[in-house]
Amino acid sequence: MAEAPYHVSSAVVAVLPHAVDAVRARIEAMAGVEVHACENGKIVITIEGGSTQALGDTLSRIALFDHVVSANMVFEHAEELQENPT
Amino acid sequence: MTAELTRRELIKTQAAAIAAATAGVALPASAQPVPGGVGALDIKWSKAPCRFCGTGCGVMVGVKDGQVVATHGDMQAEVNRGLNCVKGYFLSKIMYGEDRLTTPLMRKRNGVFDKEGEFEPVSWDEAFDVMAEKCRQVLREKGPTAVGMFGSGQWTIFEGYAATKLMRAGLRSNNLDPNARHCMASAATAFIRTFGSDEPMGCYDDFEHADAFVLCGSNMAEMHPILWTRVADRRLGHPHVRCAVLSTFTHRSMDLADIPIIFRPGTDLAILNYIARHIIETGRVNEEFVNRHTTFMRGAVDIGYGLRAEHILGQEAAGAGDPGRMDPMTFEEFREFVGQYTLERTVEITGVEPAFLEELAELYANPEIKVMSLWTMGFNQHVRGVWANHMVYNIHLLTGKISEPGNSPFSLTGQPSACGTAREVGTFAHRLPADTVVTNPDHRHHAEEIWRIPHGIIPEVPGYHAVQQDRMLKDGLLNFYWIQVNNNLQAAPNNSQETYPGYRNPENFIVVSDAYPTVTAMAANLILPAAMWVEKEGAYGNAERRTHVWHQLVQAPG
Repeated sequence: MAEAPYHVSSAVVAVLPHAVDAVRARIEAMAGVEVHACENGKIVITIEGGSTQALGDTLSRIALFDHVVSANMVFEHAEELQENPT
Repeated sequence: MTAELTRRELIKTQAAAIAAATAGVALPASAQPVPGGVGALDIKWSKAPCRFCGTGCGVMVGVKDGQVVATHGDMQAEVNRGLNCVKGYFLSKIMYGEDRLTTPLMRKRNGVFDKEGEFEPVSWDEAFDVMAEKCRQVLREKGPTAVGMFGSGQWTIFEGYAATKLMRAGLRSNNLDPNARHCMASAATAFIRTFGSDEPMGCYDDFEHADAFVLCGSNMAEMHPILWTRVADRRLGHPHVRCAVLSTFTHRSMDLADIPIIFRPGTDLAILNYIARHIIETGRVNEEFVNRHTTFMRGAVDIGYGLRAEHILGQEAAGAGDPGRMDPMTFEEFREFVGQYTLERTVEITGVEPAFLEELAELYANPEIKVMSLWTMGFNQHVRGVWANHMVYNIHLLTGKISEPGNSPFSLTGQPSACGTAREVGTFAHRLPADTVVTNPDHRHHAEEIWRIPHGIIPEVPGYHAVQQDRMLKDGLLNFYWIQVNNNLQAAPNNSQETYPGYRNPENFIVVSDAYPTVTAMAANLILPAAMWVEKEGAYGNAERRTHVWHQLVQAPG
């Protein structure tokens, strides 16, 4: 099956209360990243991409944004393993 | 919409829903998962602990067609409550690398084993035959002190237990040590010397009860992100909570620090003594607790650096011969000793703002504040790591702030089972299972009864510890050596002078069990491929002594 590798993950980003809007805007501007909800200083996002490495890098970048307290992964799914079992 | 898009949307919706539930955030109705839809993904979910650090996060592992295809934080796990840190991305990926080892590899030349030969695939039978022959030869010629094994806090509990039993009861050698020696020896020694028992007395629930957090030699924001999230939730959710971060440089954990303290390297010991002095001189010693539960001892000084006996730095150190020596002292003598560390002198030594030091000391001195001290390798790999650990306990014991919800000195471990395996089942050169030791005849007797072996089998002399093993390999006194679940050529001290020459010493036969061709594996004579994580049944014990057991979920390759 000639499908490109597809990885999706979700994460919770905890942000200092005064900076929630600014951090949210910065996250929304990132390619492959979607904001699904935002409440009490916690932003729920999904990250899509072609490899685990790319997803991990994206979340690591978010973790290093100013005013981000933590950016923790919740869910990770790698479709390529299913399509091309080795 | 194509079938593929539908599937992708489904997975993404599920991902978002789980994350939202974990964060306690409501999703808009349009983003709710389709009822019954996720079942169509045909994934079987099981539980396992994460294998990447000592936190011990609960993970849901999704298996399809014999492969791990998805993971997510276990929302019912009390440790992480649904979250995983960035390392969680690699839980499934790490099992499916292209260079995964699948067959034993032996250095050979002209069809037979040769230490100078190249690696060739061999059968398990051939690998075990050569290994057994080499082991028997060493035992015959040099006895049990010439065989040894090196493991780690990444062994499962069962594997560590099997290792200690094989080495002591089978090969009659105490030359077994884990790489946890490199990281946790100072924590363990201070636990034993202070409390007579190894491992933290607190637990993660202390996070939600503490009024103050003091990090010293720990960058939890990046190294223990899940626990840090619990600290951050407590700090941000309760305005009275304070956070102090002590470090030699600015790092991510400073972002949350009310009391940021950057000190000159090595001067943290002065800060800890200053805090003890502050508690005493402001009359806030918990006298009832101190009288009932503590004694005062003076440790040896000028103890050298644990180098080879002939090293000049050891020769020059007057106390190096007995670095663990302790002599009784009175409270008044202790008071006099820490009395040297006035605020002015401590500022001079450390270069820290005096107001920050006073605020820090008050977190401990004020009886109304419940305080959690958290440390990792900044203390445990300190040049005076045992002392640093002792001195934190000093200030918790002076104030009685210990073993109560929220009052908790807490040494955080770095490996998934440094507590559960390396320490609890006795994989150190001097230890037997359950905090017993080879030097105690009653302990040996007990272990021999449980293992159903004749009395007198377990040797009473402690074996070579991790660093000594490398020296003895180099000196040709340790000749058969099996390394498991660690990459010591990346991690050992004085690698190029001791460890590598030890592995390459022509007199030695080195076996490495690993899942990947690490630099340590490549320096071996025989490599045995290993199953990892959910490819086998196992159990880990995390930093708060919580034991997680898991089932085998997939088959190891090869």
